Amino acid sequence: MSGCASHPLLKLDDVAKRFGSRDVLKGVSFQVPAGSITGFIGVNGAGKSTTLKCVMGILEPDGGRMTLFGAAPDFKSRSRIGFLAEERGLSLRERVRDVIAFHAALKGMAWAEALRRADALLERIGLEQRGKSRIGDLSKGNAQRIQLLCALAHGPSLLVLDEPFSGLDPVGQSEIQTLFSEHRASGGAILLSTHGMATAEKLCDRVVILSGGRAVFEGDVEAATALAPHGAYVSVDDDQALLEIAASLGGLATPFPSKLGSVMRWQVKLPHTVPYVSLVRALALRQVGVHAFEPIEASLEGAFWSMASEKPSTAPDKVAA
Amino acid sequence: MGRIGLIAKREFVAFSDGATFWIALLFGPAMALGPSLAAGMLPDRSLAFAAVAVKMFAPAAILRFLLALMLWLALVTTLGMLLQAIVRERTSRSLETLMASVRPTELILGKMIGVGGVTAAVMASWLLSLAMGAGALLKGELGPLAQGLLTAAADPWLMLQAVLLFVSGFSFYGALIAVIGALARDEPGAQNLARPLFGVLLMIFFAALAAGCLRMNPPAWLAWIPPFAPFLLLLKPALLPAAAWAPVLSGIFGAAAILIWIGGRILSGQGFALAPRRRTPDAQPST
Repeated sequence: MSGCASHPLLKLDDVAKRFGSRDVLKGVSFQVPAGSITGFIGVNGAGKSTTLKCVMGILEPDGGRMTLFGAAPDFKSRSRIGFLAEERGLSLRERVRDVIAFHAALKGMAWAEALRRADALLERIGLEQRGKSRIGDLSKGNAQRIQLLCALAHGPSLLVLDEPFSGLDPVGQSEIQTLFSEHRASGGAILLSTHGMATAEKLCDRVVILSGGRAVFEGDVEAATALAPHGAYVSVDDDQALLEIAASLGGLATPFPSKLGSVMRWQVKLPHTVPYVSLVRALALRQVGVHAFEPIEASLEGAFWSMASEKPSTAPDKVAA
Repeated sequence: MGRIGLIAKREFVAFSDGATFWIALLFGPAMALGPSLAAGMLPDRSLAFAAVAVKMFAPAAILRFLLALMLWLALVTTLGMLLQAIVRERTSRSLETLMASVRPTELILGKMIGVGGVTAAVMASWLLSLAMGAGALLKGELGPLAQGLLTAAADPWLMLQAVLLFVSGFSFYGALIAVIGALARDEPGAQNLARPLFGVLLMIFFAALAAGCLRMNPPAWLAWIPPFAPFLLLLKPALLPAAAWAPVLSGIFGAAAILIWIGGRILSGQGFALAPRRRTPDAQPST
């Protein structure tokens, strides 16, 4: 396992990809430092899988620059990547141990060593008894775990994983997360695309949020969470007073589409430095009657929705953190 | 073992790991055992037919005809397997994972070698059985025919020609079927696309049958065209002077190389696809 701490293992600069007349990637820039797990998040159609395919050389970018292990990527440097594709599967007739060794050997590992590595990985996840089983005889979850082992088998420096947790039960997810943490601890890096915000928040050090073919955020998970809106959904008996209080706290109250009976429901966004308790206190001081109060907690999901909900044509410039 | 070797080995194991392979492998010896047992009880009509065949055709011509028949049989069975091998990566959804580790041309070449290896094993068993069958007939009334066939088979130049034409024929048709497999999205689609190719092969077979049995002499220029060359040169080697063999074989291998490159481009989604591409979630508009 090698990785240079001073240089990112992977760096994308303004990478663009067009399918026909449609720009799927409009200049994606981000980097994956050594010893990190970078979450790559975005709605369907944001361009996550296309970006990962460009990284792996399956698709050729139409523009921009990519650096892999400090140099322009080529077939040899890409063999140091473990890849789990979005569209994945294994031939049902193949045997578990052989299929892991096959993928390791394709990346340049000697066959005998690849078989030893397959045995070690199978033992690591408690499937050593299934080495001779055919893939078709495994459960869907186990087959999914085998595919992850195929990506890990040759001891890659960088893992590029498209939705690695889909189809795994919580136990399987936990095992794989442990493997990922071990990979990071040994100096490797992971770039994983996921829809699971809770997983990203728990597992990743950094996140890249992709929206409309652009990376609209790149930075630490904490920095992303700090950008999430926070405040409360409020229904009061004096709407004018609420508007004034929100403004006095430096926030903004906007009517929410759904009503609470006949009472207007407001979404109050507060500055990050102002806790929602301040809003409660201000309402109490003005003796405003409160019908409902539901705090909005700042979270990665909130940050994601706030940044990724922009339309592609009006996607903001990347927020650096 | 390189990447091509690994893929070839995987395909060989996939196609030899089943009853069909062993049935095909043992079919030859079973056929050889038949004549050996029946040598003493063949009906007079068969013996008369064999006597006429020996008078009409030189043993080398009969052997060439049998080899052309084997080439056709080998192609018809192997191309189906190769088509299945190419399409399987798409239907099992493992194509993208493989594409991240091997070049598309390596993938196609590996599959061609692996599937070709299975066919070579079956063909070797059949040829050996043919020789055993002929050996068993040496002392009977079909002795002259068997003797002639064995003498012709001992000609190294004829066998070298046969090997080169088998390999070049398989390369060309294999590469063509790889392109068809790369274009298809699933197995029924692949079989529909491949149907015209199998039709052409059947047509070539009947043309070869006519050329061999009716002693027809097809125009020499046909031997320069890759789809016809392996069959024509196997049956009628004198169609072209010896000096023309190298450029003809180079042309067949060159055409195969171009087809493999095109197949690779299609397989990796880089172009030439005739069928509409299935849109991946990332290729759909944002919601």
